[in-house]
Amino acid sequence: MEEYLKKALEIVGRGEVRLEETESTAVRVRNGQVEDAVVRREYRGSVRAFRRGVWGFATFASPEEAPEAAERALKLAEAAEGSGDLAQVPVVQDEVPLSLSSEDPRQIPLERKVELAKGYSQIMARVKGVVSAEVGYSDSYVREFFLNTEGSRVVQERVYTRVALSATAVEGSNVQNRYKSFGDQRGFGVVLGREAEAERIAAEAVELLSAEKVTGGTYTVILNPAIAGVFIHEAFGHLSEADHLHRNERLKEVMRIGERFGPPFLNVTDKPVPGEWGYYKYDHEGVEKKTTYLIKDGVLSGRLHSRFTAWVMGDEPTGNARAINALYQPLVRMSATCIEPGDAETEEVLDISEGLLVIDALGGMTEMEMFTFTAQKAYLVKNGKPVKLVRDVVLSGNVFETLKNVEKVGKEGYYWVGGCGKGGQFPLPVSTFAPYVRIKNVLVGGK
Amino acid sequence: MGAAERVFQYLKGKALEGFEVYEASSEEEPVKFDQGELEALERVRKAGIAVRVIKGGRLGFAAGSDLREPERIAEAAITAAQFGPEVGFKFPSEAPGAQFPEPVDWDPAERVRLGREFIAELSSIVKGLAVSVELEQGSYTVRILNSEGLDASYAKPFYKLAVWASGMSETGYVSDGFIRASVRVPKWEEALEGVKERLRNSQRLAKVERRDIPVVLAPESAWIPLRALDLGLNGRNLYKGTSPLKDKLGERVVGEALSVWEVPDDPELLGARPFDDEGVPAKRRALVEKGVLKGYILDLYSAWKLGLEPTGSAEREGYSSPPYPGVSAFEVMAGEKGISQIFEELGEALVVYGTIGAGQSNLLAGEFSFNIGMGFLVKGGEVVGRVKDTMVSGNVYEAEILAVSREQEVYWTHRLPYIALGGVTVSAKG
Repeated sequence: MEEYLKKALEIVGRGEVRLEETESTAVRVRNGQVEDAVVRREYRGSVRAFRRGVWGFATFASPEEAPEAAERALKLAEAAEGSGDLAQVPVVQDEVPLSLSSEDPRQIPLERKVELAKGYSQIMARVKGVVSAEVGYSDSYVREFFLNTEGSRVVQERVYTRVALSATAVEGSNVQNRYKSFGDQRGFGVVLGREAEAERIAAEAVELLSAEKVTGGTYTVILNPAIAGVFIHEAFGHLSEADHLHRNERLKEVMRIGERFGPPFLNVTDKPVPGEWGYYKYDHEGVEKKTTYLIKDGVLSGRLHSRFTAWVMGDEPTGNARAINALYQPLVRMSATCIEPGDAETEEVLDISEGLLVIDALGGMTEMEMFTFTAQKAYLVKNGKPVKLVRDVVLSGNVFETLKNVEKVGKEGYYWVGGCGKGGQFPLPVSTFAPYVRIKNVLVGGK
Repeated sequence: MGAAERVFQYLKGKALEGFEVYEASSEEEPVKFDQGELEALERVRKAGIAVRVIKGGRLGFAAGSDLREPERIAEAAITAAQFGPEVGFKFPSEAPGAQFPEPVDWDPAERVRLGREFIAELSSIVKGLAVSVELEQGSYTVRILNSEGLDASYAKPFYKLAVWASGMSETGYVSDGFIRASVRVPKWEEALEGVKERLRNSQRLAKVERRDIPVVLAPESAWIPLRALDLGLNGRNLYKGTSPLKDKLGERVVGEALSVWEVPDDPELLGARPFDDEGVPAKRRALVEKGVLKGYILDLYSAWKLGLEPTGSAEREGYSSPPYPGVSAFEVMAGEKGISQIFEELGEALVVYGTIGAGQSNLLAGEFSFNIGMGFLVKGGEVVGRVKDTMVSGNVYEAEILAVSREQEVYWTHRLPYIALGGVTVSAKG
């Protein structure tokens, strides 16, 4: 196999080749009944040739086809002229095997996965008012092979295990959903013991039926760790991806290193966290992922790079070039994006006379300085206490103003499992970490 | 023998109540410019098979591109059937053919030249904007073989043009552009003129004072009510009992001005197809006619669960996912009035082209809430200025459909008009 890949490298002269093998299972159960039981096996690869600032890229279905793909990639790269080069990176020869703290999900029979999903589904379905109790179980093993013309050779294995619990309650045309997922790269253990969560999610979906829609306007909001994580990923993380910046002079001025972006107690990083959903040791250009401070003590201090954007901006590569699979070129993407813990107790963060406590994210989207994200539920807060449940809460704003409006960052937080979309590539495994965060003057859509 | 035939022969020898082999392949050749610079030229081939088997009354699914031993995929499907859902449907035995235009070679050198032309034209309009362009040519093939004797296939060329200008301007971040995709090389002249005009208009700001101002969704954002209907009519949500449109056939569900059709025979739309992704013939049909619910979106499984006939509306995401109810080509039928007349009659309105976060609300319940990415305050048919930091919230089933325009545009795989909504709430910052 490797001789074909090496041949491909000889043909491109300057570039890289990737090959991957995956094995995955997915089970979907609704109200105790199996809806899908799916097994997938993928085998695919691609070659990139770099010439005069342009990537030529071609995919192949088996290693024997790699030399043909290499010729095609080279021809495409030579078809036109661009500008720019690749930043120098160390030559790496490494193999990264699985590192699990519980059972490898590939060793678990399909039957046990089905029974697990059925069990959670039945717990949710028993809650009065729940019409649809869905559980999605999935695991995915990936073995990636990377070679480049500079002499790097990286073989990495990862295995993702995840369970997603979703309860929908209906009353007439009022449809409410509550959703939560648990996943990591540590093995099958992460999907076990979620019975209490299942029951709580189901009860909360029913509770949302009687919640009022939030009134649109400007609020002081307290984000719980899950939605604070989505906020920092969506609103700020994407802005730190250098492929948005490297050719945009105006944005580069705005995102100048050393500019104040928030209060001194605000620290934001993107880092490799072994075992977490968004973790990888080497990116898809064979570059080791480093911890990058995006904001340090409230001041803009870094951004995320591929080798190309690092060269254009004169920065060090950060190991953030990632693709959802070997049929795609890597883009600049995040890993685990974190609001580092502050020094406020959670009660202190909540201590406001009036505002909104916003819980868990349904999704988020960003358009450069503007962001929008949707909460699964929220409470009106009065004098530091959540007093009333509200729904259909969508927060939006300008990230530069919003970060400056951060008032408190809590001490305690947790990681959240995400699937990120960019440039037609979705879902890429990412993580976030955040504590409770309080922000003033946030625009909320509503009735 | 190809992988699909190998698997088909293998399955024929097994004791099964039914089976299906779905083979999909695509070849895509994009030319990509990123923010004014040529970045990459690609050739991407995707190919794989999916197998469904019915054994012991249960359905199993397996798929993959690992075709070193394709029989392993068939075996995995048989194993999965032990734990799969109970089913009572049969695979279809006949499907019509289709004629798509012969592919033409959209020369990469010509596409590089064209990309540079778009960049030069658009980047001169507003200082500080960078233009990204993707010009793609490709083809799809689909083949379905099943135990009922079906062997149906089609090959379809496609061409895609995406042009996007974005960056920081005097009025803040601006992002606007267009996407055209079709089975023919798309026409772009009008779309390009539209973007130029919006970019020029984006350089003066306006503020919305009324929370009850009418909101006009331009074709670029008219997918929002469509997405809600798509979810509500979806067979999965119907049998789950989570759709607000359950048991509402023949009832008025949205404003009378709205008619929505499934149009798989529209030759301009990328989603045109002779049969769906299970081999059931695809048909032109009304889903909503003058606000009244006329049809659901059903695949074999959901139709069987609901005791209804399948509607030829099964979709797969390539080969790797099981079929799911979905419409490949929608049309929101044109109204009678021209858009200029609609603006004049509304007096004052907010027109929305780009949204931020519109897909994330509880759309199944019809709820939407988004920030305006690119939108304008219009008075007496004249653009007053760009509106920013403003949220629009409403419910598709409760909103008043004030008007639907005569003009339609092809947006992605749909044909859409301007839709004017009343009864939605506009919240501006401050």
